[in-house]
Amino acid sequence: MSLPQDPELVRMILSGGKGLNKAVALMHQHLKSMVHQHITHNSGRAEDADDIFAESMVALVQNVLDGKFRGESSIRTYLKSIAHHKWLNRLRAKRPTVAFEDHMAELEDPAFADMEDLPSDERLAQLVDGLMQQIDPQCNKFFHLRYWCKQRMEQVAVNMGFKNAQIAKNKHQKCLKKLRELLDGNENLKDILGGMVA
Amino acid sequence: MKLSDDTYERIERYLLQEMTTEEAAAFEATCQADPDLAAALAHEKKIHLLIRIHNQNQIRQQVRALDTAARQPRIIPFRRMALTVGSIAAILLVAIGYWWLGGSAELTGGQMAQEAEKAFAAILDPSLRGKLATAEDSLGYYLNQEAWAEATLYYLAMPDSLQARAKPRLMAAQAYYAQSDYPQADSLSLLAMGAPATATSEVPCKAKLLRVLILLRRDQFAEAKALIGYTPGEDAWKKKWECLKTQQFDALEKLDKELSKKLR
Repeated sequence: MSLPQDPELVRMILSGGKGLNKAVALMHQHLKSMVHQHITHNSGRAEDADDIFAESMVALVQNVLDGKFRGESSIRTYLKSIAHHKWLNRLRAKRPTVAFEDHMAELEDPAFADMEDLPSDERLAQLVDGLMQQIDPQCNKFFHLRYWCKQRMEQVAVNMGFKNAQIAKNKHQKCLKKLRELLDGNENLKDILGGMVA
Repeated sequence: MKLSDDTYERIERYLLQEMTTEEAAAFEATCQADPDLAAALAHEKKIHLLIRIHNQNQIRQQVRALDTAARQPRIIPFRRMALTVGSIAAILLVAIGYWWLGGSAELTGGQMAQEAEKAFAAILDPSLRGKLATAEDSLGYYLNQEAWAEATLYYLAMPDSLQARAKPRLMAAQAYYAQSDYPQADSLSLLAMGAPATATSEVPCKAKLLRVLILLRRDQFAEAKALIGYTPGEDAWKKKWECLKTQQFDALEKLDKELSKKLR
C-alpha cells in the first residue's frame, strides 16, 4: 500500500485507535529508510537510527495530536527534521563541542528548539504501563481517544459505540476515578510524575 | 476534599484547552484563590501526563515490533507453494526422505515448519474466487498478492464485527505468520480455532493447522504434538482434521512421529 497523502495521514492519526496504528505502520514502511540513511550518514549506527526513528515517530504523532504540525512542510520533511533535531541533541550530549556539516546546520530549525522531549526511560515506561495494565481496556480506549487524541466526548461516544455523549461521559468518569485511585496508591510513580509536571 | 464531577469536567476542559481565553483566565484565577481546586488541578495534570506517556509508549512499542518484523527473514509464502496433488505427494516423499536421511533430531522447529508448509500449502492457500465484493474477498486478494503487511493493515482497519469473524481472523493470522509475527498469528489462529465448524467452513481445522506451524516456529514441540493429537484409531483422529486430504494426513502423521523422536 502506498503512503497516503498528508491530509489523509493526519486524519488517520487524529482518528486514533486502528487508524493511528495503520498510519504508523505505513509511515514505518515508507519513511524509515529515509531516517535510517540520514542517521547512518551522519556518524550514527543502525541501532541509533532505530532509536531515533522510534522517538521521532512518537514526536510526530504527538505534534499532530497537539496541533503543532501545521502542514507548512510535508510529513516526510517534518519527520526528517524531527529526527535530525533528536540526533543533533544526542550527538551534543555525547560531545558538547562538535562541528557539523553545513547541510546539517540548514536543517536545524528553531521551531524544534522547544519540542517536547519526554524521557523514553525504560523504567518509567514499565512503571506507567504496569499501572495502566490494571485499567479496563475500554477505559484505556477512553483515555486514548479523549485525552491523547483530544476528541470531543460526542466523537468518543460514536467511536466507542455509545448511544450518546452523556452515557460515554458517565462511563469515562468512572474510569477516571479508578485511574486516580490507582495513581494515589503508587507514591513512587506519583512523585516521578509530580517532578515532571512541576 | 471530594470535588464534584462538574469540577473535574472543568479541569478536563482546561487541560485539553477546550475553554475560551476568557474562561481559561477565570479558571486560573479561581485556582489561585482555591487551594483544593489547585491541588486537584495538579493531580489531574499527573493523570494527563500518565496517559500521554502510556500512549507514547504504545507508539514506541509498535515501531519496535515493526522493526523486528522487518528484520525477520522472509519465509516461503503460501501462494507460491500452491501445487497440484501430484506435486504435493512428490514433495512429501522428498521431505520424508530428507528427514529420514538427515535425522530429525537435527532439524530445528523452523526447518520442520518449512517442510510442513510445503505439505499443507494447498490447504492454507486462500485462492480468491469471484469478485472483490466483500471485505473477506479483499483480504484474500492481499494474501494472494503476498501483500502481507497490506493484508494485516486491511484487517486492522475492518470494523470490529468483521474482525471477529473466523475467516478474516484466519486470513489475518496467515498474514502475520508470513511476516514472522508469531504472537499475533498465534492469538488470531486460536480465536479462529474456536469458531464452530460447519459443513461449508473448514476454518477451525485450518486455523489449527496454522497453529501447529506457529508452534513449530517457536520450538514448542510438545505443544505442537499435543495439538496434532495423533491417536492410533485412525477414524477418531481424522475426524479432528476434516479439512485434510489423504496425503496431508500422511504428512501430519509423519510430523507427529518426528516430534515424538525430538521429544524423547
